[in-house]
Amino acid sequence: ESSEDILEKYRTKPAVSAVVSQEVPLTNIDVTAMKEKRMSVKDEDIHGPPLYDPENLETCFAFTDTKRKLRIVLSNTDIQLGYNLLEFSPQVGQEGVKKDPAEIYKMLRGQLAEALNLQDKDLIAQLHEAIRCVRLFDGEGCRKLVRSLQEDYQSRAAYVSYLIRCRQGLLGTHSHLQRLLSRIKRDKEVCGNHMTRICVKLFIEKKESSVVRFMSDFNKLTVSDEKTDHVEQFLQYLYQAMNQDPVWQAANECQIEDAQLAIERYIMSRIYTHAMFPNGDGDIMRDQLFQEHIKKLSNVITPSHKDLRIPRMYQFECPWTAAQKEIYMINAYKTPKDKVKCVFRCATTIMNLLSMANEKAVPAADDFIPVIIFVIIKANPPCLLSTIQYIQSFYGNRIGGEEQYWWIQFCSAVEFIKNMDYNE
Amino acid sequence: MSSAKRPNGRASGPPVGGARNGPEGKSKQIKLVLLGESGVGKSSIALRFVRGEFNENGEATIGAAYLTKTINVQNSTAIKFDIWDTAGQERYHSLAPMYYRGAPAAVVVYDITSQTSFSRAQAWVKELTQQANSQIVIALVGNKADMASEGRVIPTEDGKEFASNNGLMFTEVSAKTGMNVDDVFTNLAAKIAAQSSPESNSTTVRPTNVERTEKGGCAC
Repeated sequence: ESSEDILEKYRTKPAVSAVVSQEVPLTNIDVTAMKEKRMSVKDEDIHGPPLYDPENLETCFAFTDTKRKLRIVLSNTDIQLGYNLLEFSPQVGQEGVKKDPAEIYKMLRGQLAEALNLQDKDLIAQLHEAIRCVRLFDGEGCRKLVRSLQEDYQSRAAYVSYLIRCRQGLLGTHSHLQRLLSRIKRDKEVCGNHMTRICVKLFIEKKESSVVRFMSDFNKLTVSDEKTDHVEQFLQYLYQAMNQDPVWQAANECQIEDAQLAIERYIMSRIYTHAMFPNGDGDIMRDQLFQEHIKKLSNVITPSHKDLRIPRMYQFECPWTAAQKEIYMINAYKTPKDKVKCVFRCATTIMNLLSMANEKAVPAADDFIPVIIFVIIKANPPCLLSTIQYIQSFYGNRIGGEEQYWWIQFCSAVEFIKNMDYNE
Repeated sequence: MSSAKRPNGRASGPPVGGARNGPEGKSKQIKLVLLGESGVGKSSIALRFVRGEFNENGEATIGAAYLTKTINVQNSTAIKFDIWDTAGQERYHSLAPMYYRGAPAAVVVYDITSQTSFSRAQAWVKELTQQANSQIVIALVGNKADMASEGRVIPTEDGKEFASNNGLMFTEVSAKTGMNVDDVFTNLAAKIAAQSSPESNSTTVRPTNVERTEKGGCAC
């Protein structure tokens, strides 16, 4: 039957229970009110149907009331109960309850003990009440009670499975919406960043004269420590100035952080050539030589090369193209921080690829080092030596944690490449 | 697919115990290098310590190269270990100083079923005592203790004796069963905490500071 059919079935159901509750008007009212009512019923039997009626057991108020309470209690207790109930139910159909009519009572006592132990106040109260109600019934009554509960449960089975399917669908929709939401958030972030960048540009334009002065001062410096300090001081000056700028008064912390990053990017790109190649042509020549060296290595290198000996199980992802692309981009980034992030991404890409290769082994440094050496040789990004020097002098004292670890891995790989020869 | 679970590819463990916003900022960051021959199970020990798991059952993890974990030592100081795994192959030996430079703690691992790994471990210890930070706390660890009955080659006494002659901490562990693994790190943390507490705010245990002053040289 289709879900529509099932739904239809249950759409009519409330009407039936409504009829029942008309007979017993207090079904939906809370327990205390009911108790009061019961007391009064006891006194004035004439006014309503009898509370406990052995003749019409299954329609009397006590029966439906107890059943409802049992349902509440059973649905509130932990998942263990599902299996308790299963254990319990086969006996119901057969001799179980006949032999021991207190079976259900026992189970409730067990639950109560656990609830007491867990100090679950609500559950304790509900269980006490349920036990009190169950006590009204004899063995036959208990059996009828359980059977009636079971029938209810079975008749709801289709509905329950329908609900489960609905929930599955909803979960799917939910995760889809989450993804859409994260896309929108990302878009918002990109727009926000862009706006920050534009504002920074306008702000820096106002400071152009001091930027020019800073640059000419910077170019006069020769000692690398002085250069680092100079950049740091100028950046601090700009951050201070930004704090006083009216445009930035309303900016939140995140925006300020982004703006500082943008300022750093801008300033570093202005002094980039001088900072990257402090010795001018000498540095450029050295980088070119190194690049030539790597190019020659690239002709002889294979994953099984004597200096690498990458295990076979890791060779299927060779040549780790994604990682090569990452590291090749390193010169596109101007600030030392962005360059280090680039190295970080390259390293984690390699680790990801390695961990995909073998589900059982967790890749570690032993597996990583030869692969990053291979990746660097194959990608052969220009200006490697100057890049390392640049980062050491302008970011060396700020780097830490995981970033530092991957950075040192990268440096040591480059160090190793320096000493490699062209033998196969 | 294992990688789908952690698309950002972070290799570190989940932040344990909230080191950064830890109790009154008393947490101390300690760089710890793992040294030892390739295949002795350096990273398995670290992984076992950080995640309490052994990778035998194929539990998905991106990597065990860089891991972190915070543990508390008796006087309510938290020690956050930055665990740096290093390549153990002999051909990469010359790169090691870049990793252990400035590290206040090192764990040198050998395999109790392999003589060569023990010799390598001894060489590591010599190198560390000569070249690393003089304050460095070293733990010598014999791994694969679960295989002692079938394949032990290095008697416990040999490890113990070498350790006591060189002032190292010594433990035999099994990354596979988890035996004694946590002890290695808790003992190290206790020793480091004890070492640094008399002179409070000592800079010797701050890896970043030491790194700062010495790193310029390795560029070329």
